Amino acid sequence: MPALPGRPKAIEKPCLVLGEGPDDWFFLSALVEELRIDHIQVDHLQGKDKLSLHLRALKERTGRERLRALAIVTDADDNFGASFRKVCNSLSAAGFAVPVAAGTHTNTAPSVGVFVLPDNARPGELEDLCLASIQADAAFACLDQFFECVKTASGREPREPSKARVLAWLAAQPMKGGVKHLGIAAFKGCWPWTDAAFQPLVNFLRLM
Amino acid sequence: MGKRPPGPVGRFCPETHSLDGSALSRVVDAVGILDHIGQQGAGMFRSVTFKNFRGFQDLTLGGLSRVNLIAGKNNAGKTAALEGVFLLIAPNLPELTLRIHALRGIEQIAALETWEWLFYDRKVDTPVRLEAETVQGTKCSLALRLTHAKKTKTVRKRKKGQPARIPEPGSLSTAAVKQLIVEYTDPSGGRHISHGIVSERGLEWERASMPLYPIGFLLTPRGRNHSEDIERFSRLAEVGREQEIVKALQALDKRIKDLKMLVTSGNLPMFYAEVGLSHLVPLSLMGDGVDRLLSMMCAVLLAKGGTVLIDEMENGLHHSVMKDVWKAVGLAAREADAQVFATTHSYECIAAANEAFGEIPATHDLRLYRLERTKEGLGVATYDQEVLEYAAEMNQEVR
Repeated sequence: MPALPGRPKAIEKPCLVLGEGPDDWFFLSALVEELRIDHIQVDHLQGKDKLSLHLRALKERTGRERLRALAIVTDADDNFGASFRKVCNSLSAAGFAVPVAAGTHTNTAPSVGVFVLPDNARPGELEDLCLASIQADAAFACLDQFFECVKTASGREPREPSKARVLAWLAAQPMKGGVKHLGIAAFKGCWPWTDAAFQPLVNFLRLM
Repeated sequence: MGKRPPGPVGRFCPETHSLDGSALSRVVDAVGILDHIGQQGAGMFRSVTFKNFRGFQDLTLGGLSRVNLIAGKNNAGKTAALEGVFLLIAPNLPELTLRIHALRGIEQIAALETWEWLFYDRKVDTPVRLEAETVQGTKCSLALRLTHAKKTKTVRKRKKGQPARIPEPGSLSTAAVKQLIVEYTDPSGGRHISHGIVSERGLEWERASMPLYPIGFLLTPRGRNHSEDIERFSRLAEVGREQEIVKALQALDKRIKDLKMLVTSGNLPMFYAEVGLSHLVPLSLMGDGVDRLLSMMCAVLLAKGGTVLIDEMENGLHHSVMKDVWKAVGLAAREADAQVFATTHSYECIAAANEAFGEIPATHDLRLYRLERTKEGLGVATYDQEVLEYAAEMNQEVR
């Protein structure tokens, strides 16, 4: 499992994928490794609010001449359309091309693509994508039952249901030491990469 | 304080000013002459452009700030950028075209060849053009042309001690007489032409009489001159500012309580530091970094309204003190209304600058430029302070 960069990191590969935060970085890095794509470098923002700043820094970053393709993977949160437009506005303001739709890439140099999690359509986030990938698991129904039980017993409900479900899922994994982060779980094989839920994202990365 | 005059900043000086041989890195020492300083940063360059100069076909450093840090790999043109600015701020001193080579340790090459190396790819048919725009929007430029001299004028002879080599007698025929024409166009469109001439008589200079620029310094690791530091420190001490230097040096060694100049042997005074021991300690025994910081601080504090160019900023300085060094330099530059250009190879130096300027309130005085060679040629990446802070926070490579 790679570590987050300890020394200053340049753009070292022709394709760069930007995730929102460290968890996304681990997740996307694990997926790229799983797909055995060597020409993609994964990077992350310091929160999506820093996207514009990150793109400005990217335009100046050491190794920028290598960049052939840029992809931004962001959460839809409550509103897929608003998230997509926000990313496009940041791209445009930084002088990058803007894709016509989520999940597509431009034909520019560098090419630019935006993938809005979980599936370029619904509201949600990375956790929702991961949850979608395990819906066929026999234990998946246990998650809903657990939170329903808690609600019935105490009246408490998690403020972030998807994150809570992912944590509960990970807590139930039979791993020594446990695994507490979605991204690290990706490296430990907790997410079924071959599930259809991941296919749009896999295709998006393969097109870079 | 009044506004600066429209021309090269400074009071008109009817005499052309000369450089004494010992002052290799000093352009014009105008302390005491420049008693009026313009608006805050009014004379600072907003952009500088190098055309057909050294390794630059056409390169602009835009959006310049008070402190401009230039990074890049070896042979990217960092020192050349400083040299370009240096020539531009002393436009009637054609000797500098050779002295910048001396500061690089090149003194064995004849002037003619040295001059040719000022031109991109030694293509002397295309003039060198150095252009600048100030934050007020005024523009000036310096053109260098290498031509056959039509006639040899009566000129001031090269002074003793200057580093340029005089060609051996007989090594050039009359037909080989060549001149470097240094043509400065000031912000009001006035032209001022200086010459350097190589003939059978040797090397001669003719300087244009023109308004004086503010003081400028070029500090290089190999070109430091102890007597200059003594002189500059003395000027600061004259007006009771030596403690500003002491305070800066404390970033390197907290024991330094005071500095003295003593003549203990020979004629030249030496710096001694009071560090709480029974004897004062020669400053030169306290490490290169202390000496270098003293040079830098003296230059910045004296460069009232002028320019300080520092090659290899981190040279001799441990990374752990760089933040304090930058703070001292940054605050001094602001106080002196001076503009600083510095080069570095060091990530720690850049990170320290970012941290230091982030702690100086209400300023965005830092800008980072990275010169880089690509397939398309030489390019420049520019980081303003906000982007640099983010890049540092994200551990992104910026060198």
